[in-house]
Amino acid sequence: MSTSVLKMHDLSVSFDGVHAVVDLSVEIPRSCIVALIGPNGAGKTTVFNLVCGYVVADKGRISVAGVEVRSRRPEQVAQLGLGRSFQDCKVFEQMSVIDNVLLAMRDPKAESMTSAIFQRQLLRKGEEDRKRRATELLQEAGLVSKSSSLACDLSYGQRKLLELCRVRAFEPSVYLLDEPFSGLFPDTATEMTKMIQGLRDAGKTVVFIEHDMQAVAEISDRVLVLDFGRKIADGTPDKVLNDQAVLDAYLGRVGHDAP
Amino acid sequence: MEYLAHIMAMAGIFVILTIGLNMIVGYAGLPALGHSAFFCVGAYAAALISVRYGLSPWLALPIAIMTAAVCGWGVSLLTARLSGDFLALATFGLAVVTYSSVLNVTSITGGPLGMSNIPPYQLLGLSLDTPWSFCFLVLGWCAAVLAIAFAMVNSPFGRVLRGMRESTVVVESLAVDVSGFAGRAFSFGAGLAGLSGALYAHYISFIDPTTFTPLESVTVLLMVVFGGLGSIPGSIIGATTLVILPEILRFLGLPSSMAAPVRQMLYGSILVALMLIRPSGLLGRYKWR
Repeated sequence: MSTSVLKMHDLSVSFDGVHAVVDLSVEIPRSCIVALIGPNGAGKTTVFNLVCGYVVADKGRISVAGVEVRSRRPEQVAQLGLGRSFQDCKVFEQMSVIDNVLLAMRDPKAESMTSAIFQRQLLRKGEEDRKRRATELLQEAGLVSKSSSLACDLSYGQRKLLELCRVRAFEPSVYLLDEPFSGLFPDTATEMTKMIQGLRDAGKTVVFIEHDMQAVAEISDRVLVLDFGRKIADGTPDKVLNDQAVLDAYLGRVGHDAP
Repeated sequence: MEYLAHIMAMAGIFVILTIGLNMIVGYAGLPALGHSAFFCVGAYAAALISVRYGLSPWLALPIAIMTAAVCGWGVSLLTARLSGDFLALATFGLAVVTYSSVLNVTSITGGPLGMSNIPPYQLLGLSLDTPWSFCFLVLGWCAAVLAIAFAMVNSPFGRVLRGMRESTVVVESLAVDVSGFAGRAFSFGAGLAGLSGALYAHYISFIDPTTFTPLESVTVLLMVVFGGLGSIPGSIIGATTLVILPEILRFLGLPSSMAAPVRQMLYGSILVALMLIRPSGLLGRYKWR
């Protein structure tokens, strides 16, 4: 039996004739950190959007935890245990830091309108438990002193950490993190590294898009490289980061654009 | 003094109406422009049940609330794929449809002649048809609605609505069924509008379509924006201020033909001033967008 938690088979999508992802087949097992790299416009974020249901593939199959998700809506895919962060760091700016995290701790019973009106006592108990857990997560990210601040008052690096806290609070089994290290100061990047490695140690799967090759080499177990929507390399960081095709894709092919 | 009680009763009705719209626009971030339709549905449902079928106004009340809430749910289903300006236009269109329907389906609604002799509420053998007695009834309802609204916005349900307002993309990534929550926000807000409509109909004892023109939706929206999007106390201040303010015009001795246009001009000027000086409203946390 396969242990893959995320599978893509022959996946393709194009936008107005531009092939964003072409015949991509990948299997990602449990408890590993996979880096998805490639030049700008290689189709990395599109892969995330395809997996999460924000974009529907033209062809191919995607499965999360063994369930086919190609035609499912984003919230249905998320229910299968898929959590993601966004390239442009989306936090709920006008909500407090702790509310950003609490919102991810979903509890359909507590979120019903009738609970809000008639089950105040029960709600209070559950809310206390959630707040305790949220505080723990914020503590780990070094954001606990900012709990009651509005998220818009955080620095960019703190927002990145808050976004990861929010995804962690959702407790997915697969994490898709879009450029988690971009724009971070070295100390914040260290916090981020620890948090991501902690996820793998807890048995979670992390797929992250990154341009910082040092971070990629440091924490990933496997590296996938996309170029013009096609997978051009797949293997350990040592092997992939020294691959000539990958270097060509990043540095430009010699003579490629020569007149 | 009865005049004062009347103003307070009307302010109370509009406070309930405004809190309902604030739940949709302010908390859930759905720019709906058709709240007059739910107000209308509540008023006509209550009037029809008590006048045509002779049922007690107390029985008509929950039916009016439910009817408006179901309409709210229906509107959310119909507009599930819309957002922003498109949602605002579609809901405004539905308010136009509702207004035209009550105006033209004369066999049921009485058309332009409206419906009269709507019986007042009775309590312990007393008829609540005087401004003071009705004022206390409305204030009681306001207190209940405020308690419920505060409980809702401070609950996990309210938190999800606020999250939706910020980003539907992100809440979807957290497995939130956005259309389901939008439906709940719409039905709650519409239900409150239904309550306001029923209270209004049994208080004034006469309703006609002119009370429920689509422009009335803009007035209620102005009350929400004036008080502040995403603020329940703001809704109280917004509705009360904008009910009382035009009353001042009465003391200026303006001819009746000018009163209505001047009221609209006043509302328009307030909106312009607000957008320039304090776009988030008096107590609001969000800017209109």
